Amino acid sequence: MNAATLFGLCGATLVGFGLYGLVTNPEPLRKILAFNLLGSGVFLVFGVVSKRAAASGLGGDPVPQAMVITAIVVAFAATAMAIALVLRLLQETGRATLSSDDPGGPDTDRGNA
Amino acid sequence: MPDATALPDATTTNGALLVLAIVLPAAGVLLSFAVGGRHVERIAFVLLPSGLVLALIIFADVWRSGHRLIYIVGDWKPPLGIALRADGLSAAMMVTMAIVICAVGVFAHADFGTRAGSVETRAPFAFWILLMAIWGAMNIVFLGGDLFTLYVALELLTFAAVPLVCLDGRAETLQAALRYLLFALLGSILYLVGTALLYGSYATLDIVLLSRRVHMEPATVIAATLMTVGLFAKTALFPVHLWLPPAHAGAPAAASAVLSAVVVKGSFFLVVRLWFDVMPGMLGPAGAQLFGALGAAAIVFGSVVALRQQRLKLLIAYSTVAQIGYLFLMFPLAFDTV
Repeated sequence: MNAATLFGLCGATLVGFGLYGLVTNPEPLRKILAFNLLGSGVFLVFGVVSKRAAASGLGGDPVPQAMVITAIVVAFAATAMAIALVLRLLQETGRATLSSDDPGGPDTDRGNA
Repeated sequence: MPDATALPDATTTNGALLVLAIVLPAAGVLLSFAVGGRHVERIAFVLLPSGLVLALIIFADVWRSGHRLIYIVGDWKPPLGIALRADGLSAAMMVTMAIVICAVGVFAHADFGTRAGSVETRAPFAFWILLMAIWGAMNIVFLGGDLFTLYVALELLTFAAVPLVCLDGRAETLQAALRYLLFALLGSILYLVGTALLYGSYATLDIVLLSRRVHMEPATVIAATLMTVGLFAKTALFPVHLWLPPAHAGAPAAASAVLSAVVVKGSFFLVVRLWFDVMPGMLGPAGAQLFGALGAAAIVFGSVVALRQQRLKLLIAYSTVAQIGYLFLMFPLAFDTV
């Protein structure tokens, strides 16, 4: 197993964890964290793509690296926006939840469907 | 458009119009931030009609010449650089969208217009800026020539659309906006995985180059599936439409019009680009039927639920779900004749 395969598998694992967390966690903050985990996995996959496509004499293909920088910036902006929404929701209602019904039950899975 | 792909990739005359179509809204947004306040509406009222004129010029140019308008950014050719291309589909979509956005602008003048002497508020300021941002992002979606530029455009579109949902700041609209954002982020990250896999397999993301190199193999199939599922989530096609009704119903009337008429079409346009331009003919009859079946399910489900709504805005929101279903009926119709 070479380094690219190892990192690729790590990326795939992170994507799996992140996707699971994003779908199953009802808490908005945890969903945002899971999205970041998912994003990190994808960025790692980009790194592997860059390494695999490296021409002779180069450490890596620069194009995926340029893309991953852009993607990280986008993910950062998305996270900031989501956090701002959660904070505002907390100020308005006193609790940050996605379920539109009243509190009191773990039954509300409409928010994370 | 197979004959057009044979053309060499070079900046055509009037290609700079494509840049103008993207730069104009961006300049409008930045200028609005700089001058602020009540001038924002005036800026929008100058720029939105000029955007319509620009779209009409591009449309006329594509119509007359029968070829695509191409602009190579910085004169770096596609495997490394980025191309902007306007084919017939994107020109037609640009014109339609410009008309819708201008109509929304006229309508929104009543809600978000700043009258002389009245106190400035944040909602109109945000609305006009976001309207221009959506217009710009949609133009990039229509003109972008490589899949990663399209990813960035898709994210721009999301970031402009989410604040529109919660413009009035009530708790349920904030919830709807957050849910929309999470759906959209999941959708775009799936799209991004697909982009990475395609780049890893073919070493380019340019649509024209990719359409020549792409062939049926596991990585391509996985990439296409992930991208399609992600775009479905952003388009709110039937099984993943849950975010749309609360988001669209909670937004102010003018904002819901933009969200329903323009924003969901951005990701739909990318589905069309993916299956018609990037991978022409790779969506077999079974895949086309699946798209059509989802569309048909959306029509039935959306219409039935729409009829059961008490609130008019929720009725329209569920009707939007049904209308999106009609769009997906084009896939079985188009690919049956191939």
